[in-house]
Amino acid sequence: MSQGGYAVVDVDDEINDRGNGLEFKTFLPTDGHTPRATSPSPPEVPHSFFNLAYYQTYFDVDTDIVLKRVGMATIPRAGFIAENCDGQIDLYGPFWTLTTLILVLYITSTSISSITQYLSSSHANSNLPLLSTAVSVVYFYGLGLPALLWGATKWLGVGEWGVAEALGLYGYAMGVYIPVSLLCLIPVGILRWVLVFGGAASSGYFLVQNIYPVLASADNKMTRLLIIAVIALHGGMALAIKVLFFSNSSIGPDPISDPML
Amino acid sequence: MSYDRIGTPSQQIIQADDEDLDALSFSHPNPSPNAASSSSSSQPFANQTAQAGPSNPSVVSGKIGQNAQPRTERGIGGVRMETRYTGESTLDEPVTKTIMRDLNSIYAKLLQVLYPPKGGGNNQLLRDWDLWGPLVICLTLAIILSIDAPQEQSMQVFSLVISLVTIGSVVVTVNSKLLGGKVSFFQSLCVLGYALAPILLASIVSLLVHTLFVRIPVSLACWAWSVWASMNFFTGTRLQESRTFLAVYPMCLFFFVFAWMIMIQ
Repeated sequence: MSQGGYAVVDVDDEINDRGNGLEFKTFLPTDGHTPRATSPSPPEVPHSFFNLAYYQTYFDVDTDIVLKRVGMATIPRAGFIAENCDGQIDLYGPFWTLTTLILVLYITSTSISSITQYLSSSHANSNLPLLSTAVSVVYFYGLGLPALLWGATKWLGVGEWGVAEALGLYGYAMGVYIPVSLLCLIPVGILRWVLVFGGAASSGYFLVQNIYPVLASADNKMTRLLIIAVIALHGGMALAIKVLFFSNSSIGPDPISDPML
Repeated sequence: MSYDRIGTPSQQIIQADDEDLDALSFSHPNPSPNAASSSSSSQPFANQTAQAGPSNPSVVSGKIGQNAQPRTERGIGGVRMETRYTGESTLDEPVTKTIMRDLNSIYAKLLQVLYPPKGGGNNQLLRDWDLWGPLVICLTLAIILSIDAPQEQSMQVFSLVISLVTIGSVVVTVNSKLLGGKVSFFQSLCVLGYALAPILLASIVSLLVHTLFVRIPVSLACWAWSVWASMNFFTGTRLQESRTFLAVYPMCLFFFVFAWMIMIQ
């Protein structure tokens, strides 16, 4: 059996360990313990995309670091990754910021519609579709779009950043919507518009400040036009949040028709 | 399948590798991934082992005395392994007995997760994870919430709850693994599933009582209970002190979605 050594190691996590490299390596346990994905050797990062240990480098954070980064991301400034993250972005913060945002959007929007219904004394109505809406909107904008943006820059030949940086910037940028959503519980229509677009301006400025240097580093000047797409989509996202979650008629059949409510 | 054990310092970790499993499958009518204790056969004797508490009511009905030494430890090829004999063949016993043993096993684990002092105060039972209990709890929760929902939304609620439980518990588990916790994947799924039981209780209460002033305190209390129960387990994962909050926070979110659904219905 020439490949006898392959079957010995941990089946769950290590099976994808040798995904992309053709190299000779023994998998026989020589020193009594098998290598495990849960305890990677810090110096070398496994390059396999499917290995859990590959992602562990992006989750190597402590509580106070994450809290500090989330706080600093609400202040729109350039150089977020270099200054606040010491050049190494994490993915814990972005992912759970987005997930928290989903939950907060769901909670605030259902509260608003429940209070409205309670005041107008109509019968209570469940608003579970809002949860799936929130999940799809927030995850698409916070995870899908930065990946697309990163792919576009890669295709155009800007190699300055990785996909993790793009995801991290977008994830942390969305964090400002969490306090905004909580403040949107105040039932004043015009205040909600101000709050949502204040949040959009803050996070949009943060995104532009951090993404534009990357785009500007390209030889092709046309790459910089991507920033317009970023701004436009960010505005669209703010509008979507306002219309979908913070209009009193969000439970009605057509919230688009009268969003100023 | 990962065989990482959560280990308190006092308890010896039995590493189950392929060799061990092969040996076990011959000596055992029902091979289980866990070398330490197997769900179907070890249950009647769980109260005889040093780890399980004598106060565990679900296992008192075992056949004490028929077999003085239920546990044997041997070494095969340098691997320490452990087998247990239930005292009789499980092949030709009545079906009701087999089902009752599994139900007892689910009940014992539920007790262990929800109220560790009563369940024996250790994680020994949970090393022998199963996903039957979580499945039952998840389905019941989904059914109750969909009954509670308006007629036209009930199917949507049902599928949403099922997918939230599955995806959510997987994400929470992967998160704690990524943060560096030493926890077996399926064991963590098992514990998170059992920890949903207080939420299930809250949903039953809110199905019966429609007053908002009862629902909200009950849901919040059950949410806190769920978080506490799962935290109890995850403190055993040897996560760094500075990261405990990072692992606990997703669990709070996970349980809070359901608590909120119950409150808002």
